[in-house]
Amino acid sequence: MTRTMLTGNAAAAWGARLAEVDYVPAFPITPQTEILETLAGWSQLGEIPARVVMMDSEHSMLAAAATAAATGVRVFTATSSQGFLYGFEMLYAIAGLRLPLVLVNVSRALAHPITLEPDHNDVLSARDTGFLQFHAETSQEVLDSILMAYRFAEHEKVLLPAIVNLDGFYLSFTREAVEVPTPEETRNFLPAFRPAYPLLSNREPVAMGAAVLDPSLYSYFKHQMHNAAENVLTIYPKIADEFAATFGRRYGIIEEFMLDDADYVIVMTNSFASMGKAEIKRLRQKGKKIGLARLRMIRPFPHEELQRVLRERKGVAVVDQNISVGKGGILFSEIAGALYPLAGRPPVLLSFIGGLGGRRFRPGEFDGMLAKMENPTESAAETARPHLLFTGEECRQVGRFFTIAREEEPSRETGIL
Amino acid sequence: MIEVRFHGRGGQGAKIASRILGRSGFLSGLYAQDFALFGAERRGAPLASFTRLGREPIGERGYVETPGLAVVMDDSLLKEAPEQVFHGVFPHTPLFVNADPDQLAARTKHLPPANYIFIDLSAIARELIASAFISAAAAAVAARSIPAIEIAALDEAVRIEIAEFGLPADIIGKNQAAARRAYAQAPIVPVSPASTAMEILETAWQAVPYLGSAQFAGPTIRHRGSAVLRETGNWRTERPEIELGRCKRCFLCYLYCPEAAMTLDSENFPHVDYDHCKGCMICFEECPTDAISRRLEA
Repeated sequence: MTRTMLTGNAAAAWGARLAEVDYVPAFPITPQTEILETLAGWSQLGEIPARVVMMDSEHSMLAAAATAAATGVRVFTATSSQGFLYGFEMLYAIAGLRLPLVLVNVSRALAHPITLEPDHNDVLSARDTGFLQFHAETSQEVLDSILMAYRFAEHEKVLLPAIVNLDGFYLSFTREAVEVPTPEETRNFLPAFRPAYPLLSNREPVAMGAAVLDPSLYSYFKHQMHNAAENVLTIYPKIADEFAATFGRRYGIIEEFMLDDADYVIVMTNSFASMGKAEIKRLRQKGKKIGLARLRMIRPFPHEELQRVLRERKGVAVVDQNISVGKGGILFSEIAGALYPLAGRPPVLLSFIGGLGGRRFRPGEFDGMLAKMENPTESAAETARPHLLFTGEECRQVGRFFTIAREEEPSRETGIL
Repeated sequence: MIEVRFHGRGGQGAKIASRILGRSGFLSGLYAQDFALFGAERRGAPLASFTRLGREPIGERGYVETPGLAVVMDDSLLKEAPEQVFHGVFPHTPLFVNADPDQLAARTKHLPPANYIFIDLSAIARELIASAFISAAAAAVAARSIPAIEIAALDEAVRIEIAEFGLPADIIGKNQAAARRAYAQAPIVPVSPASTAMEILETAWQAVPYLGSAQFAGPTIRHRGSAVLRETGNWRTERPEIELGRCKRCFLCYLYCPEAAMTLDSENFPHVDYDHCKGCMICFEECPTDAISRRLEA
């Protein structure tokens, strides 16, 4: 093990390197490109045996990833945002073919308006595909989650692909201390892939992805995928324990931060949870009994864990860094569904939208969310709807941009033809 | 936690500077984070990078809004990118500027108040590295005011980061020498911890009303020609120069210029708009008669 400074992207590349992946189909997109550049560099220098191949698009990249995984090799790839959507059709194909590869998504908000900074509408658009989803807060967690993701994906009771998500810029380009295990240590946790499924091979031809025009057959395969995803919930503790025994770090499905005696809980995901934790600490110093629950695994959805963590709390605020336009926060709806059957469900469950396009929290916003949980004054109809975090200063800033954008004919004496 | 912000131009080494400082903190046993913010920018464009150091896990990410200390690696940014350089800078904030110390009074007279320290990092780099590469010196002036960083850690951080950047051993040694010189020359200044600065910017949150604007429902700019107002000429590290005597008026430079910075006169001869040319040198590559030459900017 060595301890060094790594960006989220470098940690992702190290995760793939230590997983000793065989094949990496690639296509560049900001802010992900660094991952594939790093792997391509190592491949060229002969430091890793993996074959890194530049494809002509994300759709081809994911098609190549699927095909390679069908031959039984360990496959890694990475993309982001628009590229993720461009290859989207293949996500259902990979999952439906039950091919256990790992895809890193570096979250970046979707156009239009175009931006480079993160939110989670890209990765959450894949929530229904059959990919497992692990969302990381730190560079260390990116590396560790990739190793764990292969274990879950390749488990014979699962056989589903996995996404490891990290935020663009806030994590992808941010360096922090990371413990990088040795290949030997890693092999103890993640041995070479021994696929148990029928392989695509020219010696023993198979027809993969056959048509099932019988609705019951289609339902059967979809139900099987769902059951397979839920199997992750069963095997999770054992694999997390093995990971902890090997590397000394144990990851829960949900990270519980200052939750022991917390009456109020903020639910978050990904790297902005670092900022959330700092705010929780500050509110604790003011004597507030508040904590933070960070959802690390989003598929399969951890209903039972959420019920355990949020039972008997006085209030829960879900901060979604995404927006389902016309509905609200994606995770809020899912969490509400998990809590509804619970006898001791929190009487106050609020939805906040924050961090769209990388918008950072403003000082006072966590105090505001806590105040709303402590004194819920809104009607049931209002409470079911999301609160959009935005400040008066931002409104004024937008107004200034509009003033600039509005003028139809600037006066110009440029001398340019 | 201490937050440091570096301002430079793409290619000048602001990212490496933030990494050297981050690595110095890491090697000194601190929690360390460094981050460079650039996306669509390119060589020569103003950009910022950041280092956060603390004795506890760092609960902040992204842009440093209110730096405890800032280093401006290119003094032209004081005038060209004031909205970046002076963002969250208070009268007490130490602002190290890579410039001749003798010019301090004259050049800061009309600038926002800050605790200006002018130090000629470029002179150090020229003398000790024989290059314009000032990452090590920029990191060193910041490190000088952070007591937890030992000079040995700075020295080692320079070695690691310059090596990771792919430069040979003799250049690494020269960068270490530049860091030591800058460290010795820099004054020790008081650096505000991050939390005290935050409260000043506190704002209440509010709901976004529906504004009902059909004009601005989408991100549409009606203000035509606004790109002209953004001068990008000083992004250049080299400039194309046209020798009109060799020009056959084929228009290839005019067609290929990605910035529309090539103009045609009444006789259809091309001219470079140096206020906007970013120095990509595509015109130089495309010119079939070698009428365009490349010159280094001063």
